[in-house]
Amino acid sequence: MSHIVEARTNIKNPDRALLRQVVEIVAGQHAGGRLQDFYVTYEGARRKSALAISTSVVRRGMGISVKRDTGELAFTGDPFGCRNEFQEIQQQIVQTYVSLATMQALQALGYQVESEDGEAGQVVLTGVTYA
Amino acid sequence: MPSKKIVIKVKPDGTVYHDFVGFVGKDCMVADDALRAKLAELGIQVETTRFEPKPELLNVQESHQSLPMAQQQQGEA
Repeated sequence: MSHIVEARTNIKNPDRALLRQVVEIVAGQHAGGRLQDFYVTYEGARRKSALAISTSVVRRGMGISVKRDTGELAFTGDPFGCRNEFQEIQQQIVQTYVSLATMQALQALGYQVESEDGEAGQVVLTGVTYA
Repeated sequence: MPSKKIVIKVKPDGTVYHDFVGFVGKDCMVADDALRAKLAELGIQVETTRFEPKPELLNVQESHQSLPMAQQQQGEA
């Protein structure tokens, strides 16, 4: 045993393939969830987005992009009438991205990784190595 | 060979809790750095908000800190 760390995470310049996989997973967790290549603004205009998600609640969809200047993740769309679900999807994308990236990182370092659901919506990953 | 384990909890807001278990001496710090580097490759920056050394690590740090003094005392003798 050695130490414990608590930390904030910040996603910048995410791996595009992993991000797409994450959005697919999150879409699968919502009724009517699917990947799109556009979202709809409040005025009803279609805006192209390389990656977007819509659900039966977030019907106008949400664009997921990476800001050119900062590399940060950006979620764009109109949350009117579905603010909670809109926020929940954002949070699920961030949590799932951090979880899958951590699994990949541990595996790359030679750990055998198991994942399970924890308390209060946490994802618990356990990496074990005998090296 | 005893296993080394890292238990990681990812909260819904993306904050994380890393528990390094079964590492000897400062190996846990090496493993921590390696994990952070791999996460950075995938676009994740980890900003520590709390660091809690366990007794085993504290013992190593104390022995390392006292080493220069011990060497100095030997030199004076």
